Formats: sequence, structure tokens, C-alpha cells
Amino acid sequence: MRPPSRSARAATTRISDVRNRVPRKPAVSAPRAAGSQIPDAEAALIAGLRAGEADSRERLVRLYGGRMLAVIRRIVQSEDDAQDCLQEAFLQAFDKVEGFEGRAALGTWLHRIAVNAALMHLRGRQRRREDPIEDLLPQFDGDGRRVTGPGPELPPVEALHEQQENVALVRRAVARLPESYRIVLLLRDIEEYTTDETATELDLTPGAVKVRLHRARSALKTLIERLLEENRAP
Amino acid sequence: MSRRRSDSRSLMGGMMRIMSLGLGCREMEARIPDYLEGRLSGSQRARFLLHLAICRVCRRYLAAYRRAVALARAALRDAGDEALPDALVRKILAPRGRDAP
Repeated sequence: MRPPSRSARAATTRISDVRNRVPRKPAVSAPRAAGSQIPDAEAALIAGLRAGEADSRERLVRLYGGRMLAVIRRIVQSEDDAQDCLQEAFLQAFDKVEGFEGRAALGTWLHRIAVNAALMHLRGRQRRREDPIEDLLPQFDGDGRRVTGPGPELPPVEALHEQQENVALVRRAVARLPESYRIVLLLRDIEEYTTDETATELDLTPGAVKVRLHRARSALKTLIERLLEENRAP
Repeated sequence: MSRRRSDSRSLMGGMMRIMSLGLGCREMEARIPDYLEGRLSGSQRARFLLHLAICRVCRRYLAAYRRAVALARAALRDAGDEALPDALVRKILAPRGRDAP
């Protein structure tokens, strides 16, 4: 599921009950672009959902479920847990559709619910001890000069999908990031949350989000290089 | 031999630092996020770019850093969008909690 654009996400209706499970700061909710209206098909679906129609619920699940599951899988790495989160996300959506004001597209609203369900799952889980990230970060000598040697060249982005093993390699590298860094990288670089939105979601300061994002990106570069080297080793 | 090489690197590092008005690799590293977000002031940006111009190691590093982020976006964003299996659709739609009979 391609994340909604920042402007579209900014217009996302707040789902207060979803957020109320964890104390949060209020987020900005901007109106949908002036003059834009809910498309007819979407309005009919929302009306059916509000009326509790089973057909409308099934339609919503079939229309958006695949994309929502992809979003959740990026955050929650176990398939069983991801499916549980998806179920939870739809329960939230069915419950809260009454309050959906149409200030953002339905897909944007559901994307946010899916991310929240996945994050709530991680919060509710017993916290695992993380490997330190320092080994994956650049090293400097006593004079402040970078001492990390050049790693193998990373594959060009344009050709990534021509070699599926490289797609799998990059996904493996992301999965190997320590969780507190992986989540920041996912929210900022993949789901396109702003620094402030990410900070709100994770109960961090914006400064801490920036530091974690930079470290996560540096570590990701190292992990991709190491996996490329492993693959090239005879 | 290695001592001479070390002295030479140290001298080179000092010259590079002077040429980039005091910005070393470590300082450059710390400024990458602000550089990428366009938050450096004019003089900070000029020093950052000057360091990049004279330091091939940092130049390569920054290029790989940016490519790693772009690769992650390309590899992860295209994932999914497939239809849900019927069994999962039924599980989601099954009555639960207060809706259960």
C-alpha cells in the first residue's frame, strides 16, 4: 500500500478512540482541499458501513484489506500478528466510521488506523532487548576523519525490481534494524509521516526522532552493504 | 612506513579541515539530516558542500546513504496490494465481542 501523500494524511480525521488507548498529544487535522467532496462510490460505501450493512463491510475489507495488511506487515513482522492487527484495525474502522468526516480519503483514514493497530501491537508486546546499533554506524579516528572504508556499491534504485533477490536483500536489511530504529525509519521514510507526527506516534521528542532516523539510515546502509558482501562471498 | 602513511593522512586531514573552514568528517556526519532537509544556513551549507568537494570518502558515504534510503522505499512500498484470502476476509467479518450472537 503506497502511503498517502503528506497533504492527504494531514487531512486525516482524528480517530480519538484509537489514540486514546495510549496518551498522546493532539495532532493537527487539516481540512480536505477546498471544494473537494467525497466521491459518490465512497459516500455510498460509508453510508452502508454506517448502517451496519454486512455487504458494505465485506466490500471495505476486500477493497482495502490487502493494502492495509501490507502496511501492517512492514511494522509487525510476524504474519499471524499482522493478520490479528488487520482484524483489530477493521474492528476499529467499523466502530469509528460514524465519526469519519470525510476530510481525508477513506484510504488515508484506513492507512492511519492500520499503522496505529500495528504500533499498538508492538507497544502491548513484551519489549525485547535490542542489539546495540553502534556497530552499524560510521566510525571516526581521533582527528574526526571517517575511517569506514568504501563498501560494495549499492544496486541502482531504477533496476531494483529487475533483480528480486536485491528486493529481498533490502527488505532483510530493514528487518535487521533494531526495532526502535526500524519503526522510525518506516514511519518517516516509508509511510511518509512528518517528524512531528512520528514523534507523536512514538512519544518521542522531534529531536529524538531526527537522531534515530539518521542512525537508522546509516545502519541500513551498512546492513545492505554487509548483505551484499555476504552474497558475493564464495 | 605505516608511521609515514599515518603522518601523511594526518597532514592531509588537517589541510582538508582548514580548506573546509573547520568542518571535518564527524561534523559533516552530524549535519547530514539538516542538509537533506534543507535546514542548513547559507554558510553552513557552503562549508558542508566544500567538505564534500574535497573529501571523497564522505562523498561516497553520502551517496550510499541516500541510495540506501531510496532502495528501502522502492523495496518496501511496492509490497502488498494483493487480494486478501477468503479465509482471512471471513475471519475479519466474523462477529466478535458485542456483535457476537
